[in-house]
Amino acid sequence: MEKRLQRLPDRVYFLGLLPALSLLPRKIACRLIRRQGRQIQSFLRKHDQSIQSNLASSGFEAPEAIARAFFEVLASEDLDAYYFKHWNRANIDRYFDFEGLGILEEAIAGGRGAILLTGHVGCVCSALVAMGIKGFPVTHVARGYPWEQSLPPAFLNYALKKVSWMEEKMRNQLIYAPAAADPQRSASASLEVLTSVRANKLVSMAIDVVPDMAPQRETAKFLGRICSFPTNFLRIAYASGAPIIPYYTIRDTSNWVRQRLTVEPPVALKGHLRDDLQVCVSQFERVVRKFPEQWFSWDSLSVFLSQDRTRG
Amino acid sequence: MEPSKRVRDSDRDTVAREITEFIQTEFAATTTIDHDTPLITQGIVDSIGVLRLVRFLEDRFQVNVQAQDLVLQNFRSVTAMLDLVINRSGD
Repeated sequence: MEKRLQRLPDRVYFLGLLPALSLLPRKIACRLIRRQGRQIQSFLRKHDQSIQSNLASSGFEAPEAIARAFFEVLASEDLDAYYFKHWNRANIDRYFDFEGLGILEEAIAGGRGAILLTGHVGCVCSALVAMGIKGFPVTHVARGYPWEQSLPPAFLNYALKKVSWMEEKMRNQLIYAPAAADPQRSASASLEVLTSVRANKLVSMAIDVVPDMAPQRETAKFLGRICSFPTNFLRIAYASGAPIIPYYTIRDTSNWVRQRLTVEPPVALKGHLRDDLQVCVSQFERVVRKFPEQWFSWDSLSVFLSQDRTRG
Repeated sequence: MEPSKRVRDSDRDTVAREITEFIQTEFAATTTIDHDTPLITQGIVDSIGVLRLVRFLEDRFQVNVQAQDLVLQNFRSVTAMLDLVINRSGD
């Protein structure tokens, strides 16, 4: 079984194995997809080494164990998409623990919408679906990949299906922000975000977007380094008056079936870009430090490093 | 111009001048801006700058920019924003 699962072509993995696993009892499927995650780890050796090296240099003990769990979580996220269509209002609590949903209700009652700030930790897509099923008017700013043309067709096919299933459950379309080279479409996306928060929607955005996909950046301390992070979510909050509400989703690695969606109180913005960014980054770092195996950007940590050494 | 007053068609020159001055000041535009300069495609106003323009128009001219107005063509030039202000003034 292990050998047969090794080095599966993308087409077989995304469009064959994942839907097949989703038909099995959930616990069995979770066990098999974790095994697949470990297989992925075994043939992505360079990535694995880079992840372990970045974990170690960030002060984590036992980077091997964290990296192993990282790949298990990664594959589990791939599988999640095939469960979206089965989730509904009657059964979503079987798969999610929710914490802080009252904060979202308060934001809606406030009438100014909100920027929901998250990162690539846990399964953001699942969280958005769960919030939609819970009745929250949520959407997400999806960034275009500058290197989209080089992605495997099977992955793109899977990603398009995933987006379509998400939008169906969220009852909202994602806001597509293209790679930075297209100023008109970027400006259109900004206006779309403004339209959404003015319509009292919750607009989710990620803080850990790489420079190629979000060029307006500022520096902040993160994992003991000076890194750069996008500032668009803050600028949009300043311009719209919408609060910034952090949230994240963590897979329960004791049983692998359940996830916990946590919503935190709104960030107390001071109106100073660097200071406000640091507050948001520090909150995000706290989540990454607590659940290192669930942050998907360990491999690309170096691209966040800033050349700006003025901030000590 | 008194911001609380309804913006009339006869105020076009004044409104256009104020919008142009705001863009030149806030976006440090080094190129000369005329009323039809394409602000976004020329990179004078970026994706976040367009949100500042919305706020400026609402605050300065007391207009109610509505959801259907939040489209790129209404912010692509000084003339487009001028038309938006005149159309939405007094709503």
